[in-house]
Amino acid sequence: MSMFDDRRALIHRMYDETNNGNVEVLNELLAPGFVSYGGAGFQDLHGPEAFIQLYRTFVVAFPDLKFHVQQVVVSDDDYAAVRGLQTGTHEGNFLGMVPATCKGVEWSGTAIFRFDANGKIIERWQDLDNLSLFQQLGVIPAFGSAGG
Amino acid sequence: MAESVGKQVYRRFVEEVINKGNLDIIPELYHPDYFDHSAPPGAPHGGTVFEQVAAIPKMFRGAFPDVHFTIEQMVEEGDWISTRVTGRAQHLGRPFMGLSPTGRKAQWASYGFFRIKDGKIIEHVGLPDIASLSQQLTTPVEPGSLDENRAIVTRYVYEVNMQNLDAFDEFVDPGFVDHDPIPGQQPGIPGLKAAYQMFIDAFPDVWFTFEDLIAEGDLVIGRGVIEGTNNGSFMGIPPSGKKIYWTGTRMFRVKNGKVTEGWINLDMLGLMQQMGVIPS
Repeated sequence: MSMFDDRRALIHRMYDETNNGNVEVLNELLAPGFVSYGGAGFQDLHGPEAFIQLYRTFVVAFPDLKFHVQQVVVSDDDYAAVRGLQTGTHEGNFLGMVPATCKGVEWSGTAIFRFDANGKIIERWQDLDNLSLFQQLGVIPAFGSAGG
Repeated sequence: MAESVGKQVYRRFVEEVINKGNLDIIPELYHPDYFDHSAPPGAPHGGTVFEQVAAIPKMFRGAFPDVHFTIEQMVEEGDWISTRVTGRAQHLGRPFMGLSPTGRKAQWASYGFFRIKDGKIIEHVGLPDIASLSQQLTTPVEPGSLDENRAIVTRYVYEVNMQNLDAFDEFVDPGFVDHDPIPGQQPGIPGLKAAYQMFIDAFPDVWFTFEDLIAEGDLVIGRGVIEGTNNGSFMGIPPSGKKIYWTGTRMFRVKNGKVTEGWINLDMLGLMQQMGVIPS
């Protein structure tokens, strides 16, 4: 398989496994020196375990959390990007701030990954439709015409 | 064996100042009597010595937000150090030596001699291979290539930064589809222009920088950082007067030299929080 195929397969496997509850797969796919950069309201996270903990925080709030991959773009250098739709039912406290609303919510997001020389993910960036998520949870009102 | 003080000083200049943009440590690395025999064209003559030193990494990092220098070799004799470094960068930011951002990647060598006094750099003479760098940025692109698609997306952002939205007519397809329109956005190019005009009105100095461009086939994804001063009202919210930083990742489809589709994820929550309308 080419490098492009390997990276595409790794990304699909990561989401297939985590969608099925196998968060530990991240220990295999992320490099020990992995960094997930903050942005979209999140802190920088260092190491696979810190990222797994964040993922578990989301699963507490959204036990049926799924990321539906819509597009994978694998670059001719060390980068790849994924655009998709995240869905879940809000059945638990979210980030210790938002008690369960039992609403089904969905938000789009794009993640960018950099691969190291061993083919593992060493860096990750993200942007997501965070305003819409908090509006759907009823935490934030719609602003002017910025609803939805 | 530990590196000598001179080599450590040069290494900190490369790894902290050039690669990370940490200009604050320049006075720790440069002597107040520093003289540069090889200041590049356009380097400032006024200001303090430290401002003159800072101008060069500022220029590189402005034009090439991801610029990264690797030290290949350092040789020391007496109080002089000779250095050989490789620069790698993508031209995604501001114009470089008069050339509008190209989206091109480049790699070039630079050779320098630095004299160290009292543990600081006091003198420099050197030769970066600017000719090779310029050549790599200006080599014509193949139509339909990833380089061309990246160049188009780079130009798209640069024209927004120049607030020259009429240029969209040259490289945005009239049938452009925005998959993440702002509420009420009209279809096609007029709607796209109006969406950016809304940001320009709210943030008159708004500046978009893509720090990475990821391309495959006819898709290009840009990871962007955006800054602007909120001096106009935004979506009905009165201006806060604050300088605001937010991020956004935009995916484009480029066909036959035209942008045909767009998707975006924008940190609207961070934007609203900094404007003070949502608690952090």
